[in-house]
Amino acid sequence: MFKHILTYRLKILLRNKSLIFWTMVFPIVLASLFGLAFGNLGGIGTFQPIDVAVVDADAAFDDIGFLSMMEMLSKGDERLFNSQITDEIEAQTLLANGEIKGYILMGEEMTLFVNNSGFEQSIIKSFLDQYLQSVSAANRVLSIRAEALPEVLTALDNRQNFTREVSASRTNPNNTLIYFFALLAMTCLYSGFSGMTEVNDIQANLSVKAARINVAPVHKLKMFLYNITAAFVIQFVQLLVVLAYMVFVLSIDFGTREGLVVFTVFLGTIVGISFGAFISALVKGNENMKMGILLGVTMTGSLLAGMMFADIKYIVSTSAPVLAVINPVNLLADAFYALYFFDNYNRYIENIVGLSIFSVIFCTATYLIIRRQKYASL
Amino acid sequence: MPVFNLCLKIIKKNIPSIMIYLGVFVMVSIIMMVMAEPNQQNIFAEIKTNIVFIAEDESPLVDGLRKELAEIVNFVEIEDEPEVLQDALFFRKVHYILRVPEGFTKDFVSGGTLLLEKTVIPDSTQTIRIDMMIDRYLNIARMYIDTIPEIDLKTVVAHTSEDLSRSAGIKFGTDKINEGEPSLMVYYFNFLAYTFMFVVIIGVSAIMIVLNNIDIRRRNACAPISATRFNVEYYLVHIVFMSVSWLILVAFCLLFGYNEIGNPSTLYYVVNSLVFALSASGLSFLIGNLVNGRETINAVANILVLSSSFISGVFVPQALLGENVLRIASFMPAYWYVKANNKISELMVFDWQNLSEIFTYALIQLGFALAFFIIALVVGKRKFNIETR
Repeated sequence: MFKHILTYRLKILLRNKSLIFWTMVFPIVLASLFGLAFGNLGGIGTFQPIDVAVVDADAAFDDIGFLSMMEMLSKGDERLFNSQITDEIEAQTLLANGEIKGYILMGEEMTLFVNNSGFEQSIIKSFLDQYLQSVSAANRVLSIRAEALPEVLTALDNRQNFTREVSASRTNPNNTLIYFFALLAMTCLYSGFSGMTEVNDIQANLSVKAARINVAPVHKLKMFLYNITAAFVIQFVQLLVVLAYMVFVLSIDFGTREGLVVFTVFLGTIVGISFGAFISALVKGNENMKMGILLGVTMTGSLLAGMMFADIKYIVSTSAPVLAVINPVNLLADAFYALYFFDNYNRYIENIVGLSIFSVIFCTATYLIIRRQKYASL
Repeated sequence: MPVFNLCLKIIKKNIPSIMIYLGVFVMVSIIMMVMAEPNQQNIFAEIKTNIVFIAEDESPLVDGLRKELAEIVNFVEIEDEPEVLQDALFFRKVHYILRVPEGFTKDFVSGGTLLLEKTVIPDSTQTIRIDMMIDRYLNIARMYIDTIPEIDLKTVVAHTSEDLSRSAGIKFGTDKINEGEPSLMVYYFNFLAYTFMFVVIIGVSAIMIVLNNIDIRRRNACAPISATRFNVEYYLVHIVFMSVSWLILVAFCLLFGYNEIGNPSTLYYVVNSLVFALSASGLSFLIGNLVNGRETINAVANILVLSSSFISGVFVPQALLGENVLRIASFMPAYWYVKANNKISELMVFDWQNLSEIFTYALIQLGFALAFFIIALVVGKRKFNIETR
């Protein structure tokens, strides 16, 4: 009996094109769009050499040290500047056309001419300041101890870096991933459409098909379990397809714990289906109403989990942690995030426990609502 | 006006789903308004990066470093727990975590090699400035310690901070300094593209699905109303629907950006959005003619609207999109609409030379509108002919 019902249920579900569209095709399209739109986003803040001009207006003040330093800093792959030496008029034109970020007017006091303020401009200024400050320090040392000149020159030459980079975790902090994590979490919850269909097709007051099934000599709960199994199989496979698409086509990095990622998707499918079944059993009203509630809850959950703005996830988890805990989409997205970014499993386990509690609540409530319903008339 | 009234009835039935998109528009606009306010300090050298400073070693040297850094960073107090720190770094709440290891001062004075530990977002511009500041401070301090024997640490810090107070002058080359509040109006108008496309596609296609039904068409054909009259009413209702949707959305944009209404650019935004409304309407006509069935239209609308919004820069700024993505996007009117909006927002002077570029973009959108309408008419006609044959 199990095999028979399962096979036919699978066939029925596979022919439901709009269900497959929303739970598999749509997430894949969205993921591709995220991929296109955020493809370049991770690289924001990557350092590019700054275009700058040096104006040597006062020939009497010939600071060879400064010029040679500029030249040195404009060489190589890791260079700080693309610098050129021009006269003042040309520098002004270049600046007005936006070809350089600023120009330096050499003199006793260096002056930087810019059009607006930004990071590049403040790096040029920072560099100029450094130059003036080193000169000031060197002069002070020489005024205290004139014979220290060789040591001062060595010190100026041997500029040293005093910081050492310690990696935050095993992976790079790339916050565009939050969008994909939230999207995958949303897709898990979209399995709810399947769960909803299953309840609608077994409750005799909700559809004609269910009315027919109810008079069949099969235990209702068994029937329901078989059907839900079919829905689960289809949803889980679809989610794996979405996951595979993200990993292999879009090259989204889910970290190195692949097995646990798949397990999280597995649990997410259970949460999604039981959530849809729960809503369908709980809400009195027609199918559109139920669909609306399911969509509304899922979309709000995805919004708070960072699918539209990654920052929202952080804001919620720091200023309203309760909202993060009672949001299954966020728990799922956070589980993916914890697997990707954190070394230990504490946060991941917290999320998994939360998700398990959710699915137990949804399943129990659905069971209690749909069991032993009898209809006097339909 | 029976046809007109019928169409109004159909639209009324679809108001709930239209309201969802309007609701999303209002919500996202409010979020933008709230989130955009605090991060925009755009005055020279005052762009302060958020960092976490963890000192496991206390000395005049470390205090001096903290004082110097305060010039360019905001210190953020965050628990010294790896998970909390990683979290903050991941979401870019802080860009830099600096840890002064125990015994650093002692090691530094004796010329050792102990280094400060930093955890940063890789390759970000902000961190370079902080590195520069730290190196500058410690290099100068090192120079004093190395060259003047028996100098005490307090004097070193005092001298160093005096040296560090020297700075280059700064002058703004032109008068056009981009200061003050950043304009949010352009974001509201860009986002209008997404909502408007959804609303008109749903509304227009709802009417067309009903009236294009072959039985209803046949029934209407034998009604005692002339074809001209039918068509006039039919197009009138579309025009009214589009104008009302456009008016409502523009009203929302102006409401959210009320403090910028006075800018000369507002008028151009409004005109540009009207031009876009035409091309989006053409698109919805085409979809209504090509696609049958409510479910299918929903799917097509979602894919088309979301994809053109994403790759045209409605959600993510065009400047951040790849070149190839933009090339594909240029086959959609939304791309030119957003491009024109962005240009408007950059304008300082509204002379012909600047405006001609915007007019070009508007003309391209009009071209799209015309093409969509013509294809829609041809497709609609052929479809009807095939079905009635």
